[in-house]
Amino acid sequence: MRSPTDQRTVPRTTAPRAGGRVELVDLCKRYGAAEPPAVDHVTLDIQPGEFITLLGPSGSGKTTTLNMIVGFTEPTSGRIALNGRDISRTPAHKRNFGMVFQNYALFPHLTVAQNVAFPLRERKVPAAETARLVGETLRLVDLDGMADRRPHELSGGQQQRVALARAVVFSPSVLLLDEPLSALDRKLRQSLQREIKRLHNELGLTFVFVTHDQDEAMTLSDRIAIFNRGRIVAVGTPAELYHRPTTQFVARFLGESNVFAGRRVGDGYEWRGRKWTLGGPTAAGAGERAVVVRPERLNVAFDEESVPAGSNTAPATVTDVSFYGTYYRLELAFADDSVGCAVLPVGAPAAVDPGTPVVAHWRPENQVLVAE
Amino acid sequence: MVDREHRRADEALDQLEGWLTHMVTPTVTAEAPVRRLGPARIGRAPAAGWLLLLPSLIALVILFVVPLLNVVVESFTEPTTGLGNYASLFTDGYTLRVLGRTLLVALVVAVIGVLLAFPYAYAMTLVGPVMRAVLVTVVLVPFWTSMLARNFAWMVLMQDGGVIQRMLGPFGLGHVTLLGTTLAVGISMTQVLLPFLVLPMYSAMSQIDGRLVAAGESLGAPRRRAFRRIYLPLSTPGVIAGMSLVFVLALGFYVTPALLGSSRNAMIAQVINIRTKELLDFGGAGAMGVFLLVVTLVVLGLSRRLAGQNIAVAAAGGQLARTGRDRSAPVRPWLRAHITLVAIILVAPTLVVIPMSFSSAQTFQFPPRQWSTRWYERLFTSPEWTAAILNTLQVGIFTALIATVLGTTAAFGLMRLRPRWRGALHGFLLSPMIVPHILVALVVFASFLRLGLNGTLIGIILAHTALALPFVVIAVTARLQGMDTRLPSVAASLGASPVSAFRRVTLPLVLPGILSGAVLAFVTSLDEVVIALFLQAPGAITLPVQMFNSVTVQIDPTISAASSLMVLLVSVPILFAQVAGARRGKRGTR
Repeated sequence: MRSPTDQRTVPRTTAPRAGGRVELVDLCKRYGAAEPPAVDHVTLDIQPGEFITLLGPSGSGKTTTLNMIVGFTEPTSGRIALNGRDISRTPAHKRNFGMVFQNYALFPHLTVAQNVAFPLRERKVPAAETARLVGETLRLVDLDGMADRRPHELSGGQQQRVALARAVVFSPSVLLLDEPLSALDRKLRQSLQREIKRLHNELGLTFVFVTHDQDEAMTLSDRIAIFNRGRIVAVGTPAELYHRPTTQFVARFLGESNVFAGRRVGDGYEWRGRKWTLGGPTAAGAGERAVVVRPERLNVAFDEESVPAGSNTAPATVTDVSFYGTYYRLELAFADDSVGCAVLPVGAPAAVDPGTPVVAHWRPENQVLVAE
Repeated sequence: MVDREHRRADEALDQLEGWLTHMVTPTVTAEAPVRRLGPARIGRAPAAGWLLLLPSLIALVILFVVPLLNVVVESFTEPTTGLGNYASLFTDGYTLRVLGRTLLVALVVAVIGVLLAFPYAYAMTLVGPVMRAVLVTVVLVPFWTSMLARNFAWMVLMQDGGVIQRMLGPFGLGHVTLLGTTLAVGISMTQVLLPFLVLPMYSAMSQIDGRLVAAGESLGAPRRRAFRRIYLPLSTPGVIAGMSLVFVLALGFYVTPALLGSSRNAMIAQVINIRTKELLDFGGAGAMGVFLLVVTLVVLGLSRRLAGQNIAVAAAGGQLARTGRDRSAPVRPWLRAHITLVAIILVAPTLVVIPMSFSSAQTFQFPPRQWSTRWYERLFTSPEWTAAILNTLQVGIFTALIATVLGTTAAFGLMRLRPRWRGALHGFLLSPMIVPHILVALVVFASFLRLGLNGTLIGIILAHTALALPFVVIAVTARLQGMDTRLPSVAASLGASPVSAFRRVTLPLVLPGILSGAVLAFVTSLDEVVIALFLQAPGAITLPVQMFNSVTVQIDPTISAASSLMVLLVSVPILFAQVAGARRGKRGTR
């Protein structure tokens, strides 16, 4: 007899099915009255079939949020709903989320096939059906032929594939991934990123992905929720967040930025006595404002005269030049001692030596005015 | 194949090493870093942890702590209140001589032991995998040979007209009597305790990066000095650990001096025995026991401090050492000769016991002149011997059962506690290991006398349970700590209820630890003789007690067959546990 909140279902196939919708409403987690909350009023509506990434520095509350979703951590307050049904008090084993853990967390005493069959046995799926599903899922992650190996006989990448297979074999409607690639080297990580993206397309599940790696977040996600100090500070598509950051934190955390701390004067902006024209996106809200310019939007000229009219300018010194094949990267030190960088296409003013004074300039519509 | 043997031997060694480390530094594991618990830590409910710990805590308090405190109190109050018992410890000429002899013998045994063991352990780090497996096995052989069997073997070797005397003959020393002298006691104790020295030393040395000495040479130090200035300091933690352990164990030795010594050159344990059992002078005996305990605690405390400081140093340079372990280096001829000698010392008693049992002679002739199986016939037909065998098996099995249940639940409970409680309680659960064996016997005897448990098998079982409990706790805790603590949560995320997660994930992963704990508990009980001697009565005589009596009370050569049986009874479960452990261990850890 199953309780009404028991979300476990008996799967029939690994074919695509609808992803689940996860709603986090005003979710809070406090570990002690003296400590700041680990998760502070997080509200997030995760759409069916979407690939959402919880991104943030360590200790920002993203993993705690994930643990509350899967049911390992009990929220202090707030609500979690799956497909409209409140599961806040449902124990982890009845929530029916698939989860992929950091460092794989395979059962060392079981073979690959037994690991993958584990959730099916818990759901009392008949043996023949189990064998079929396990085979099908192992093929899905390119591991057929490995069924009888033990985890310690596999490479890191293979182990993570087993973990993926184990988490999707019972056709959960949501897959949670807790920094699944952080233990792998760069090359392997990229190939598994593609794998994960492919799985997302083929299975049609909702993916909730936790990482502190911004590149990973950018390449994989439909949407990114940026965490800082237990709060979600921004949610949006990678392009939105990159081109229209709302705060300095977001601008600095996602991609590289040149941040100029000046002040608004009338309908313009003043930075170290220079008057800049406002243009481009402006973050909502009051308070101190900073101007953010992405490195590829920044140009450099050797003197003020060669700057195109209507551009905003800031004097700088080149501190380092590196060649990356498809582009040059210039490290800059601005007049207010802040540091920044510019990315220039190969063929642009290449012969810049460290120590050269330059004028950084950009079109006003390419800057973003962000909150402090 | 060879590689697997080698791995198995190494695993066995690691396991033993763990136990030994615990004997010296009881809270090391408690403080060991626990893998990031992540989401659902096992210790989510400290209350449940206390509940799981409760049975073993109660058992230990009733069986051990309260009786111990009782004896401590009596040492100040019986027969008169005051420090009289302690004063006479240091004023009574006889006691003083016994005490001095005991301390001296323990010290000499520890020092000679180090001199024998250090080169052996060093050689273990030099040789290739196959040879190392052989050397490890040789060190483990004494563990498989019961304590009494080994002492019996030394008796045979050292008796008048025995092998050793005949070997000394050509040197004009043929008239020297060994048996009954302190020298005989010292030799036998050194042999018995040698493994406790080799293993911690090897453990410390295998952490040392061999290239460091080479580095020292490249910096201009001659080889000898490089060894002295680099290798020796780095291996001191192991030396200190082993030496203090052996010293402490030697202090409380009863069986060896009782069998190989004589009452003229008695050691403290023999005096405690007489005071307790014959004079019922619990105050006087208690004072001696408490004195031993204090010395033990001081020595272990000092050794932890000294070794602890050095361990940090050794660990800093030690990470690379293990990876380079499979290289073998040349072993010089003198070292070869030394390890051969040590190996002979380690194995000799076992090699004596088995042929002896097939002798047909009424006396302990070695090597036997004629062969027969009459002592086995007697062992399995005479009522007193069969009764002893059955009693021993009964006691061993029940001890193993109770200790395993208590120890396993306690280990699970410990994992749920907050770290500071965990350390303290872990130390408490292991405390029966630290207290000198003879004092445990005295404590148990005194309290069971009041409870009417003396002379009953139940009494022996209960006392053995207290002794065996630490082994189970250590074995299971080690396993739990080696386990990825997230796995039960992982199971939950895959749909497993807490019960199912325990049954399908936690239990299979911890089972090897539980099994080896059970085996250790069984073996501990099987081989235990001092407490069994104290509690013996006509209906409650275990095999070791029967063996002990058969050389001290009346001469009965059946002991040789019994010794062989003991070797079998002890080594088979250990071998079984090692094979099972090796097989499971491979998949059990990540």
